[in-house]
Amino acid sequence: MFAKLALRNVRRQIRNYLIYFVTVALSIAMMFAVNNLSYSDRIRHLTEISSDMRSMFNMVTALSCLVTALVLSYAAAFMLRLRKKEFGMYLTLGMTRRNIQTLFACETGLLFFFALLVGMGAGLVIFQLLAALFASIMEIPFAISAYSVQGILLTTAVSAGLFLLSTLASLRYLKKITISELLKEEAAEKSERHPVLWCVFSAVTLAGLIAVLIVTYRSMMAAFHNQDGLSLLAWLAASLVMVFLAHFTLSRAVAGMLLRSKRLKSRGANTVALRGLSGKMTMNALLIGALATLLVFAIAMSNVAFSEKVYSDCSIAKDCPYDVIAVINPAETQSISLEEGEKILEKYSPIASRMDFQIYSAGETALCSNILGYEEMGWTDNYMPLSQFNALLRGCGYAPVSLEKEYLLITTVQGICDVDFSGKTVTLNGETYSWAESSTFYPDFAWRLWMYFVVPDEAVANMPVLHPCAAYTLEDHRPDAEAMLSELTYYRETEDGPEDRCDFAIQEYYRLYSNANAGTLIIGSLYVSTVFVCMALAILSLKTLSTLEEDRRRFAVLYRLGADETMQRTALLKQTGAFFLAPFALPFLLTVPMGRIFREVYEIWDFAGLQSQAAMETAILISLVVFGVYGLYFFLTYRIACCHVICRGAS
Amino acid sequence: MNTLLEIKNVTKYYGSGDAVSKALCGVSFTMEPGEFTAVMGASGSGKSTLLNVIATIDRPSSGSILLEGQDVAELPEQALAAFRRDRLGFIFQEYNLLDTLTVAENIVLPLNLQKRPVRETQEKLRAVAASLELTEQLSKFPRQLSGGQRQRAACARALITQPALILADEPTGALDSANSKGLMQTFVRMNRDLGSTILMVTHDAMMGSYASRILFLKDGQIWNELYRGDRSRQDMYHEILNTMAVLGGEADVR
Repeated sequence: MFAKLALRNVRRQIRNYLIYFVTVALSIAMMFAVNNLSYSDRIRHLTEISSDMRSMFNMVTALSCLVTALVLSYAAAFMLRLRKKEFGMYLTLGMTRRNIQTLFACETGLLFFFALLVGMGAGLVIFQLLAALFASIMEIPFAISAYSVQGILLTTAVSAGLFLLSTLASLRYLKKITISELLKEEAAEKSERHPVLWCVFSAVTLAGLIAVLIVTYRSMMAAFHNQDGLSLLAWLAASLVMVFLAHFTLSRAVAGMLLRSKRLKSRGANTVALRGLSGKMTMNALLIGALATLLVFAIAMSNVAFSEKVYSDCSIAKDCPYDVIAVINPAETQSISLEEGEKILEKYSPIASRMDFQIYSAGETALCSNILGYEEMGWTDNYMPLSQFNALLRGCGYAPVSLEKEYLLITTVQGICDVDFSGKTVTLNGETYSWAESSTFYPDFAWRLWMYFVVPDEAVANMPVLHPCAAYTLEDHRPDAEAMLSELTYYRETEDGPEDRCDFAIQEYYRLYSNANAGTLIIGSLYVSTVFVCMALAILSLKTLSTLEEDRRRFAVLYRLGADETMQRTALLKQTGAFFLAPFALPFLLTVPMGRIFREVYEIWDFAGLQSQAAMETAILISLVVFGVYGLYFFLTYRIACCHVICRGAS
Repeated sequence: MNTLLEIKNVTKYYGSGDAVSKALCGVSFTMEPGEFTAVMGASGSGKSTLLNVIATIDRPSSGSILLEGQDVAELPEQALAAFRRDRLGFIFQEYNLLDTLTVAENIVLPLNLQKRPVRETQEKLRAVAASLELTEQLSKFPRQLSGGQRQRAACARALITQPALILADEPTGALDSANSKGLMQTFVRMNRDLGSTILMVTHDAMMGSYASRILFLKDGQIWNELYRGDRSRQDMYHEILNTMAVLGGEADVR
C-alpha cells in the first residue's frame, strides 16, 4: 500500500523532487565514471607507470564518495523540510510515525532507485568521454573502454550505503520531531538591516582580497624563481580566506545597497525582486562564501593541472631532447655498455643517427667546491668539450655557444644556477678559464649529472673520460618504451640493498610518465571542479526552491496589483539569476588574472608561446561541462519556480 | 451621471458535466462614481466570486462587466493586468502586504509597476501617507505594525494610483472591533473626501452599515438591495440585521 502511495506522491510532486533526482543522478553518474576509470584494466596498466597516478585516483574516488554523501544528505534534508507540514498534517489526521517514516523511505527509495538507473546510464557515457579525454592527454589512440564490474559494484554499494545513511538520519528526525514543530511555518527570509555597514565591510574585504592577491602573485613569482613554496602556500590560503570573506560581506551588502536606489526600485517589480534577493543572500551569506571559496579552489586546481600538462609537454624536449640519450657509468660492473645498449635499441627501432659525446673528470673539485654540500653529494668537476656540446645543441635546434678562455655551468637546478661563480677560475692543461655564465636554459644532455661545465676542447685534452655518452635518433619515435626500459635496466648492489638502474634516458618513456601524471591531474581537477560546481548549484537550487511557498504568496499579490506574466517572470529571473550568480561571478572573474599569472609562469619556464593542444581541449571541455551543468540547474530551477510562483490569467 | 461599473447578467460555473456548480447566476447591477457599496450574503452565496470576476482575477462564464464602458471580460491577459494595475485598487482580508518590503515600498508598489517617475511616486506617497496617518510608519516593515495600521497601509496602497474602483474583500476579517471601526471610518473618509468608489464584500452587518448601498446575494443571485438614503448608520445596521434574518444568513453581529 505504501509503495503505491509513495509512487503516487512522487508522480504528483515530481517538480519538487526533480532537483533532488537530478542531483543524485549526476552524483552517481560522476562516481560511476570515476570508479570505472579507476578500475579499468587499460587505465590500470597505464597507471602502473606512475604511483602518484594511482593514489590520485584513489583520492578522487574518496572525494567523490564524500561529496555524494554531502549532497545526498543535504537533498534529503531539503525534501524533508519541504514536506514537513504535509507530514505534520498526516500525523494530526491519525497516521502513526511509523507510517510516515515508511512513506518517506518508500518515496525517497523509489527516487533513489530511478536516480541510480539514470545515473548509471549517464555514467556509461561520461566514463567513455573521460576515457577519451584521458587517451587524448596520454597521446594514445582512443578505444572504447570496457566497463569494470568492480567499478559498477563499488558505485552501487557506495551510493546505496550513502543513501541508507541519509535516509536513516531523516527517519530519525521524523521520529523525534513534534507535530507542532512539523506544522510550524518556516521563518521568512529577512533582508539585511544594516546594508551600509556591510557595504563598508565589503569594501574593506574587497580591498583586502586585492591586496592579498597581489602579494600572492608576487610570492608566486618569487617561488618560481627561488623554489620557496612555503610563504606561497600561506598566501594562497590567505587568498581563499579573503575570497570567503569578500563573498560573505558582499552577499549581505549588495542587494541592500541596490535597494537604496529609488530610481532602480521604481522600475516594475524590482523592489520585490531585490527584497527577495536581499533576504536570500543574507540568510545564505555563509553558504555563498563557502561555495565561492570551493569554486576558486577548483578553478585554481584546473589551472595547475593545465600548467602541469603544458610543463610536461614542453619539458620533454628539454629533459630528453633525443629519442634516447645514454650516459654510461663504466664504474658499475653490471652496467650496460653503449654497444650492448645499441643492440637492444635496434630490436625496437632502427637507429637513424648516433652522436657520441663524453663527460670528462679528473676528480678535482676546484669549481664545485663553491656549492654548499658538494662533499656529501660526492660531486667532482665534470666537463664536456664545447664542440660536442654545440653539436648536441645544433641537433635539437639550438644556436651554438662560443667560449673564449671561459667555462659555462650547465645545470637543471635553479639553486646551483644561482651560486655566484663570478671571479672563480679553473686551470686546466695550464690554461686558466673564467666563468662565463650559469644556465638552466639548455637541454639536459648529461641527464645523470646535477651539473657539468662546458669548456673549450683543449681544456679536456688528456683528461680521463668519466661517462661515455651517446645521443640516438630512432626511425620510430614511439617505440615500446616500457619493454625497452625493462631490457636496458640492470641491478646493482648499494648500501641500502639492490636497486634498478638504467643509463639510457628514453624520450617516449618520459612522455608516457609525464602524460600519466598530467592526465590524472587534469581528470582529477576536471572531476573535482565539476563536482564542486554540481554541489554548489544543487544547493543553490534547493535553497531557491525551499522558499517557493513564500515567493508564491508574494507574486500572487503582485499579480493582483497588476503585474502581468512578463513582469513576474522578469522579477523572478532577476531574483533567481542574481542568487545563482553570487558565488560564481568572482571565481569566474578571477580566471582572468589566474590565466595571466600562469602565462607568466610559462615565461619563467621558458615555455612562452607554447600551448598544449590537449590542455586547451580540456580547458574548453571543462568550461562546457561547467556551463552545461550551470545551465541545466538554472533552467530547471527557474522553470520549477515559474510553474510554482507565476500567477497566470484566469481561464 | 456616467455609470462607472455595469454588471450585466454575469454567471460563473465551476466544474463540468454532473459536477457543475453555479457560483453566480445572472447577476446584474450598476455602480456610479463615488458610491460606497457593500455586498453581503452567507458563505457560498457568491460574494467573493463576484468580487473576483470584477477584479478580473477570474473570468465570468457569461455576461459582461463594463468599467467606464469597457468590457473587461473581453480583454486579453496582458491588457487585464494593465487594467488591474491602472484602474483597480485592492484591499484584502489578510492585508496582503509583502512582509519583506517596508510600508513605503508596499504602498508605492502599484506605482512602480506603472513605472511612474520617482518624484511623482514620492509626492503621492507623502500625500496618501499623511491622509491615512501612516507617515511615521513608512520605514517600518509590516510585521512591526498593528493590524489596523497594516490595513491602513493596504488602503494607502489601493488609493495611491487613484483607481476608478476600489475592491475590498472582507477587509475587517482579520481585525478586532476597534480596528474594524477605525478602518471603516477610513473607508468613509476615502469615499467622502477623496471621492473613491468602493465595492466591499463583508458578512459583518456592522461593517456593512457604513456603506451607502448594500447588495444581498443568495445562491449566486442578487436577492435584495438596501439604500441608506437619509437613514443613520444605526438604522441601517438594524435594517441589515432584519434583512439578514429574513435571508437566513450568517451575518456577524457586533
